[in-house]
Amino acid sequence: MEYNSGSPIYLQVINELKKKMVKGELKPGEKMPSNRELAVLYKVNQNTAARIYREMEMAGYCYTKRGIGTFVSEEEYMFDNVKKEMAEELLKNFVHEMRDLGFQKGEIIEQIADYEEEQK
Amino acid sequence: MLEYRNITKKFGNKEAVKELTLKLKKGTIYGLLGENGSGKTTLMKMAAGLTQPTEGEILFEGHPLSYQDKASIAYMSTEPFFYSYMKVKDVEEYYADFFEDFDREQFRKTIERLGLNEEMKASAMSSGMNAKLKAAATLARKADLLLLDEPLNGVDYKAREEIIALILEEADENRTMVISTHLIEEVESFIEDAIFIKDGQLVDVVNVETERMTTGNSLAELYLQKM
Amino acid sequence: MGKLMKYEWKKQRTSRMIVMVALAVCVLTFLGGMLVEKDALMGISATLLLVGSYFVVFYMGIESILILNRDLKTKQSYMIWMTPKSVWEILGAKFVVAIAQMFFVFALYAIAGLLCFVGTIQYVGELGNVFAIIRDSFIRVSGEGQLIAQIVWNLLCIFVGWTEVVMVGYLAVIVSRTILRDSKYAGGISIVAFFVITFIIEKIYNLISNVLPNVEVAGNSFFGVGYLVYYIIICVAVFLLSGWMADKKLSV
Repeated sequence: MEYNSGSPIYLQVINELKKKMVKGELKPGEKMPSNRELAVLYKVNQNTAARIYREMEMAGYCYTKRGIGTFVSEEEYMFDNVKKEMAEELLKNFVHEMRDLGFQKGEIIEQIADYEEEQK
Repeated sequence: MLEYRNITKKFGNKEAVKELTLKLKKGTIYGLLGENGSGKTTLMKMAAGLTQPTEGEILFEGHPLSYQDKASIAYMSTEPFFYSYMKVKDVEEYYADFFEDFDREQFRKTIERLGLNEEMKASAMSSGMNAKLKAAATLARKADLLLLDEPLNGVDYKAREEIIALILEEADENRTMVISTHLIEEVESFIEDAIFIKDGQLVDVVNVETERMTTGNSLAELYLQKM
Repeated sequence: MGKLMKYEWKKQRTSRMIVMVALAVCVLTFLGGMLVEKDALMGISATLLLVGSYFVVFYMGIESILILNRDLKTKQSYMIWMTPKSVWEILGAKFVVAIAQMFFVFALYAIAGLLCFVGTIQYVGELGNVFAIIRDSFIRVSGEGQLIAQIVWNLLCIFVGWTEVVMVGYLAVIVSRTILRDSKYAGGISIVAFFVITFIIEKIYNLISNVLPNVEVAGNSFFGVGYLVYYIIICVAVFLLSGWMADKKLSV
């Protein structure tokens, strides 16, 4: 995984894991990599791996069973909510930038429609 | 767990390290960054007991560094250093003979994983294979302090990834690792604290993640700024 | 220290092999000579063995000094100096192995040579007579029944003398890697130092020997007890000095 400068690595990994959960690549109740495995997978040190799991657990994305491992949250609608949250974050930045360029609401929606057409 | 107190090292008239004071914590991966000849290797070798400081003292776990501490400290030099007659299995036997903390089973598994076999002669290996052998032996020791001097030098991409994976597996909360390197981008994601050394003096110690959070600087950008 | 010795012993494998092969060649030549009744072959090989015993000791001793130099100068030095062993154990292991090795090859050659010598006397006509005469003259000089004791004593003293030379060699190497480390002429100076120290040691012996009680050992031998005692003390002193210097000042 490529990291960009500017934001802490642990946040970038959390984002990556959240995306996987939202996309269903990591299924509810699925066992997640151990600290050590996570460290190797994402090329981070074990302290960072521990921090990643700690923060994700606090936010409710996963839970830890002592001695067994960390598992993806099985809470219903958890990841629908996360998906919405992540979309809002992206939209927030997008809309802000577009407005900054001078686009109005209607124009923004047009731009999106045109873009989608072109991509077909 | 390791403390350099006002350390100076002179080679003839040249001061390789000048009045350097530095404290290292347990369970942390440190990056030792600096130009060639900035004193990084000298610093590591002094902690490893291979070089004696001219002035100052080094404390390990609170007591003055002595030869017995070598049982808990592992140094891996940039260059190959095994006896030329040795095969991989001889290296295994040597480490097992002298280091109680050496895990033979792990060494064997790592050797296999890295694509080496025990009959290979150390002197006949390429630099990449040699780097893998050194790393396998050094990291199979459950040492409290590991000093890796440019472990990725002259190593091809695949071998580098394998050695990094090995380092990350072994760097748990009980061990301290100090890795000196030029390849800042390669190690950026897992270095916790970066130690900047210039002309034998300590420039700064920076926590990488904190730096990213506060200023958005990557380690590479920070390096250019500080040096 | 045993582990250290194990690896020190391995370092001169090749030379030991060469020495053993040369020994085998001489012995086979001797036996061959005996078979085809060629006196010359027997005489030459027996002499080679006896004289060779000095050369092989010299060869192995010098090589061990060169190995110490390599173990302090090159990256291979990390192998011993990274182990959790004290300087005394490391140097001690080197000394013990170097000396044991020298003794081992010397003894092999000397015994083989003596056996050939005695064998010649038993089996062969003219040459046997010549050797018998040499033996008899030795016995006359040393006194009946004391010949063996004489030989052993003299060999022991020669051996201690050699040991001292090798140990001074080690000291010279350590001096060049500690005190003289930053000097350009370290190599040259330490070689000079080696000869100077050896010379001084012998000069002191000469001075003292006039004062020492001349206790006779095993009749009329070349060396008095004073010789052995003096050189053993010197060996110990040189070892202590080497260890102290390495402990305080050595960086690899």
